[in-house]
Amino acid sequence: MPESVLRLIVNGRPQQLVAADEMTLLEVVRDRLHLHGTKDGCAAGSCGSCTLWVDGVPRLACVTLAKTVQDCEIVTIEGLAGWWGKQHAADAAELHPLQAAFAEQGAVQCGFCTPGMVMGGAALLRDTPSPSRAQIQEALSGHLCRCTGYEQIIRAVQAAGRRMLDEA
Amino acid sequence: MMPLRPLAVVTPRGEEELLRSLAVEGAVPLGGGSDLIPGLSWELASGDALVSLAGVPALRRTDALADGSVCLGAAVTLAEVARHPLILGAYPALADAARAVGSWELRAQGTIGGNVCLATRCRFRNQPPLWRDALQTCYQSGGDVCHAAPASRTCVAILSGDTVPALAALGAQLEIWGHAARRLPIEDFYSGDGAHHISLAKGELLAAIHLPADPPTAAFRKWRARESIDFPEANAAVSAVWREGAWRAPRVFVSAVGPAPVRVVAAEALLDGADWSEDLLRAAGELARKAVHPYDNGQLNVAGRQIAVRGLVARALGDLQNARRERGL
Ligand SMILES: Cc1cc2nc3c(=O)[nH]c(=O)nc-3n(C[C@H](O)[C@H](O)[C@H](O)COP(=O)(O)OP(=O)(O)OC[C@H]3O[C@@H](n4cnc5c(N)ncnc54)[C@H](O)[C@@H]3O)c2cc1C
Ligand code: SF4
Repeated sequence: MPESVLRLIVNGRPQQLVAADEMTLLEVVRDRLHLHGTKDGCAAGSCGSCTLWVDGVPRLACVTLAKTVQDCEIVTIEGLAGWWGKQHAADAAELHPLQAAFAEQGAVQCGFCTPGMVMGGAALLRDTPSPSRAQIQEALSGHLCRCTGYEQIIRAVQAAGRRMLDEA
Repeated sequence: MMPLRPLAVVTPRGEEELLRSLAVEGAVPLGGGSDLIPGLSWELASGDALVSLAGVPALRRTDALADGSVCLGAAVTLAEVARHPLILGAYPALADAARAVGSWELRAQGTIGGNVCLATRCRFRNQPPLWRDALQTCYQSGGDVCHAAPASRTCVAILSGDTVPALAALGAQLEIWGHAARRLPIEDFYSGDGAHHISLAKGELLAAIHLPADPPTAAFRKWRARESIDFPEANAAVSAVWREGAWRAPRVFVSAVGPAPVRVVAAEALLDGADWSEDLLRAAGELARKAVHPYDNGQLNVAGRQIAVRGLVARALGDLQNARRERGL
């Protein structure tokens, strides 16, 4: 069974582990690094709940083979606040503004889709500080939520975007 | 998630190593994996060694060539295609088609080569293994029956890549590497048999897509169940050149209605040099509807998909008219 030494920087920390070639990034993150915030939903690229960042780009961990992201920087939901804090040295953040907005706007019910939604939404806000409703819908179109009806989620992204602009 | 069965992942850095890796028995090209990985996990695809194309610089390039054409490497992602200035400038219909694929995350991962080579899809096959166990094994899985078209001797699964009709309407050529390099128009790449839908020999891969210099004006349209991430239930692209007061050399392609794109020659004949009135565009749409014969293996029903084809073609032709007026021609 082919395996190799995998080197990743996960949430700012270098990680090295031996992994079988067929391991997905989702298996590495959840089963080997025990970061369970990244969810294992459909495992087929359809639901978006396994979204994390690979070198800053939101990607689906379930359809990404770990070996193909050798030496990349991974940010998962557990590391998002840390990433945000680093961008804003003054602000020792416990939460990324979008995480706070999700809580305030009631954008979380069962919570299963939330980490993926937040990782997708945070990347959108990083690249597009004041997104239109259509841009938010497009960016989050790969994320399924079976509880909220999406309205509160869209409002949370808008609210976080406004707050981030005000504080910038 | 269901772990994948043991396999090797090969990550060549250069062309020679790439071709050598692909020549090995059981080797399969790996683009972004957005279709191949779910396919492997549902036992729809097979392969002992996945050869990643992402590390081969020649496959990652988008180059404007001296003759005015553009060469798009097969491992360029759909997100890159959709935002590249060369594509947005000269081939906006291709950018539209790339943007119509899946979700933001899928476009960041999926490649244009993977989209062109994408496995065909069928409601009776793209299901988890347990679901499929209830059905007799069909042609595409090595059996001798087709649940979608019981009278058919071959698989009629659906070619679902959204960029295919756009590339065909633009007159794109595919550059294939293997024992020898070869080039062919994209519409000749598809065999019409859903189980072996692309003409690649063992060890070959799609290396690049060539977009012509002085491209025609083109437009792409897609119909799907949910506007968000779904595969096409039908898609269409048209192109033509505005010369001496009329549209010339029209190309009309409909796809996602069978294993290969359908060129609607009758509509092209009707449109060439004619006065493009609304009625004419509708008539062209009707010819397209008659030219396609979808089977009941998509998500939406056959009649709906046929009617959609009529509308997609008529509207895409209308898009060309609008583009012309915007340019003041
Ligand atoms: C939820 C979901 C929704 C989707 N929606 C759409 C959609 O709306 N429209 C659409 O078109 N697609 C859709 N897709 C499919 C897929 O994401 C895209 O088609 C993508 O472009 C595939 O590219 P890839 O690089 O990920 O392909 P891969 O998964 O890497 O490969 C796909 C196939 O092509 C072969 N291959 C890849 N590159 C080459 C090459 N250069 N030469 C020869 N063979 C090659 C592989 O061996 C494999 O058989 C969807 C997928 C999912 C999971
Ligand atoms: S079209 Fe027929 S043979 Fe092909 S996958 Fe569907 S059921 Fe199987």
